[in-house]
Amino acid sequence: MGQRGSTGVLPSRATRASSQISHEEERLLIDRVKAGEYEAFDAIFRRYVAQVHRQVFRLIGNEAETEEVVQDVFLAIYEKIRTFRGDSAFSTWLYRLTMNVALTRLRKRKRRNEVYLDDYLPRFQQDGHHKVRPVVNWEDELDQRLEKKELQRLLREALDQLPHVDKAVIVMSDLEGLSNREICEGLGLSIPAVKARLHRARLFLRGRLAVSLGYSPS
Amino acid sequence: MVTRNSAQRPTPRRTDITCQQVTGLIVDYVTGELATETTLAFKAHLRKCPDCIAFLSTYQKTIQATRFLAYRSIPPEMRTRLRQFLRSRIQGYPSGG
Repeated sequence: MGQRGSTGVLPSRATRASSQISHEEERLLIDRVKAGEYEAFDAIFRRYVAQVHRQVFRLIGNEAETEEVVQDVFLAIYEKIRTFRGDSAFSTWLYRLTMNVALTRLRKRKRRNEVYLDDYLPRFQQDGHHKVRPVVNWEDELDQRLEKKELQRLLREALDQLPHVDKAVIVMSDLEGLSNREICEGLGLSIPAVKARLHRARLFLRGRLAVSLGYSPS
Repeated sequence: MVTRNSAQRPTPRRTDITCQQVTGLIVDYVTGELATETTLAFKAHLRKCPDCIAFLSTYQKTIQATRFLAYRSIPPEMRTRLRQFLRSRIQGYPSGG
């Protein structure tokens, strides 16, 4: 994994694990890993495994596959650490690496429950009004009618039906709390592309929630 | 799969924007990234359009529900298994790179 236009932007929530170590200490640790020192690699593992697990689990969605992907991420760290030049923070480099490994795994999966995204996106009349009116405000109804477990199952299923990159974008934005700029650096997309994918993904999830409550996605 | 890039529609400059345009602008509205003039047009539309108020509320509710998707932190036994796996796998390697 190369370094693309590194600006040292740190994943805002993702870097909490590394906040207790100075950049200088981390640089020395990474130099030791580059020199093949296993104890230094183990220190990196201990420092970042929780962060990597969280990131992978949110994208992959099940523990068994997550464990395999986390393994792959740490093997990739060991194999590619020499390509890390220190232009960006290590956590940023690691975040991108993790996302790439997880996305590669997702691409190998057979698509399940293929749906047409458009079936759940809003539709409009020629004059620009909503096609189905009135639009129902089910904001309060959602928590009352769907049990927390059911809502979470529904959202996870809907996330799995998104194109992989769209899923990565919404995970990075709405679950991980990264900015659009951080997402575009992490995935190699332009800002307008990130926004378009994020918006489409949210509209799809919104549509799935609306339909689950018996309303039109429009 | 058919896709639709409503977020990439040109930013309207007039005050009389449509529901479709409002929907395309929501992604920037919720992060406060709309230009002042566009924000005014967006809010002016909301004042007279209960459909778009409902749409915006449910869009924001969707973000909130997604944000609170449960995450169980790494189980200690998985952490141990991973650590053991990496130790046995890597310590046989000559070095990284």
